[in-house]
Amino acid sequence: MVYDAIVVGSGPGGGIAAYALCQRGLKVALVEAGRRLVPGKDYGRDLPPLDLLARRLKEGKSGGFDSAWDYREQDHFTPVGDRPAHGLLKALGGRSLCWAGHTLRFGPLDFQKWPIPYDEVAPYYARAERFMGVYGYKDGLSNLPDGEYLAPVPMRAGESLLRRGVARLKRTGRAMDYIALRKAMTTGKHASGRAICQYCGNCGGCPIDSKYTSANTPIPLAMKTGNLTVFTNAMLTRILMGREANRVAGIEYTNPDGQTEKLECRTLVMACSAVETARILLANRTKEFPQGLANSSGQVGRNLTSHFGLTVLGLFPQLATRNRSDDAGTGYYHSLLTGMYWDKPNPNFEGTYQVQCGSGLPPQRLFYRGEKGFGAGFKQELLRKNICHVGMNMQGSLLVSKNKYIDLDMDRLDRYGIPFPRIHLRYEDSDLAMAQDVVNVSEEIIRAGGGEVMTSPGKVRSEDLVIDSNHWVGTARMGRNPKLSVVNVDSQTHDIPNLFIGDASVFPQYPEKNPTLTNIALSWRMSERLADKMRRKEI
Amino acid sequence: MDRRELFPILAAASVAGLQAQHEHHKPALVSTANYKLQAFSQEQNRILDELTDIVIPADKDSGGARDARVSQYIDLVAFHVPVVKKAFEDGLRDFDVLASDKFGHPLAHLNRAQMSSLLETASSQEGAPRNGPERFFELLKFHAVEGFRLSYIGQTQWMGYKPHPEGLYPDLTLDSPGVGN
Repeated sequence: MVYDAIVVGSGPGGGIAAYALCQRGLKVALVEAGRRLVPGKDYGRDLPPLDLLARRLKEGKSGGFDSAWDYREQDHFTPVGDRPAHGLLKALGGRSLCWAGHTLRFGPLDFQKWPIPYDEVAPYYARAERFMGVYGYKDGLSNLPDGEYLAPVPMRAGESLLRRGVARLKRTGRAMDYIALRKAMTTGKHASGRAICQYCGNCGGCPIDSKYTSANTPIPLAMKTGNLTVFTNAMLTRILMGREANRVAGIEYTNPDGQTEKLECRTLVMACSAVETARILLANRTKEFPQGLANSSGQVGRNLTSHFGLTVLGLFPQLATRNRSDDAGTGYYHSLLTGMYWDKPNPNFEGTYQVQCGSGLPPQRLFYRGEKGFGAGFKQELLRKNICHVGMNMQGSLLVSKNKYIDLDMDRLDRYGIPFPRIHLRYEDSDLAMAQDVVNVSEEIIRAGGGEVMTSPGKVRSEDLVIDSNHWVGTARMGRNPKLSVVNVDSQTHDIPNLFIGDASVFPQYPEKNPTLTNIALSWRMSERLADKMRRKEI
Repeated sequence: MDRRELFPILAAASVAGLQAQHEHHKPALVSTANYKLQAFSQEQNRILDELTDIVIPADKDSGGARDARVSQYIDLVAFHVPVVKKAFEDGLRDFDVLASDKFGHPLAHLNRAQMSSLLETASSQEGAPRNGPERFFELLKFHAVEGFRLSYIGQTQWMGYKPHPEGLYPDLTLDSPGVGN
């Protein structure tokens, strides 16, 4: 059988691509390297009973709570430079199983450096929000547009005090806003029929499928069309080219028995993540594409960026007597510091940042562990400081530079014989300056809100910075110039007309906002463009 | 997309959710009523029980590490994670030497006040440990806090979360009501 489309990767981008293509009547093969995981069984119990703890320990996982995170690959890339990390999760649904659910639109200003404007993507944002089931308030912010939301979840008490701090600073003319977060979790009846969130906080592996994942919404719907065939435990090992040098004919994959199989297709959608998609393209070299498929520009693997950050903790003693079980919720972060440097850049650094904020004593984790000593006083203070704490976690856009990129580690092959990706990361002066600004502003907000700074990096060093292992983008960027970009405005590779990219690799510029909603919106848009081109026989 | 398009996944998602909820109520039981030590000896467990209870003692608001059976939690972790087991064994040896130096008796013969004094000594450079006893203090404290916060007493009495209407996983946490002791 020749499939109309093969989609490789079933995460946020691949899942929606499979759904959208099947809806258009295309016969689709969805190829996923991992297996199907069952929420509530393979992951996601909201308290840690002994049998679960024993099982986790036996499987070599840490103690504590059960999460889809535990299925991440452990040795799958080579880090170079400033401690890069990469959170690959091979399972049906990919990292949509473990994402935090933060669902933010990029704004009109963010799209100014893209070859397509905000208005072009906005209808797909709206469609994706309706489809996913997203809760949130409408805040009316200029560059963080409102969407279509279910009933909101309010911020916690500590975060409300941070908002007070922000309000006080705004009265002095500072440009910033503080809002409750928007997440793809059902807080009321939703057309998907997914269970309503119970605020257990175990969002890294939602036990009841309240959180949107590719596995619980688009893939079952795509199956229902009768047009989708899912291949799990199927690791793509090679992209097969056709008689025409610039045309994909299919893929080769390794099945669960270790045997090599082939699938034929008319179009191929790569949606394996910014790291893995780049890796596969770079590893597939032909006479016509000696630098890797779709890489005549040399841009595959380049323009790598992610989010990075650090944390400042504050203390609001006035919260000590509150009912701490009110701190259960949709994960730790319930609110967001945003609206900074959107239209007036900071002269000390390039890019923008937001600060995700949480507080109090959610049941999954003690966020403040730094209390010294032991005994009765220690026990009381540890509890008090956790109840009274606020956490401000920076999410800044990493400067794109020649020092950040992905290439292949030819000395390390995986068990399929494919070279590991090497992730090169170097923090630049601009990155450090941004982080320093976050520290200064966060401390200022805590104090303005009536609290005190509990822990802070103070003067920021490169060692203080932590990369977001799940937010890599940019390695197959979108553009109109084939010499400077990998895909065109339809996410179709310039070099190979029947090869499309359906993940965040295509982002040509990265704001501070979380990538998943934009990934889904763009992949949905790409799928419709692909289907239209096939219908018009342009592919 | 309208409801008709989404309806087919309603059943699948709801069933998955119900199954998950059902499993919460009727989990596969592992009896903890007579927890048997797997990593440490009875004497080692008694020492760990005393030390962790000094780190997190009972007070007017909640039970302490002993009530929460934190030493058994440590035994469970150590049994499954060899590096943790070795670290505890090394640490207990280091504390034994410290006990002999300070009190002229092995660790097992010390009373609570003497053990507390050892912890005082070993915690003097917390955050930047320089020797075996100081490293052991950090290890012990980390696992005492971890075991305590994950316990029934830690979750309900200390952190203030309400017990599940049907009991907080009865029979499944080491210190669930009616278990052991």
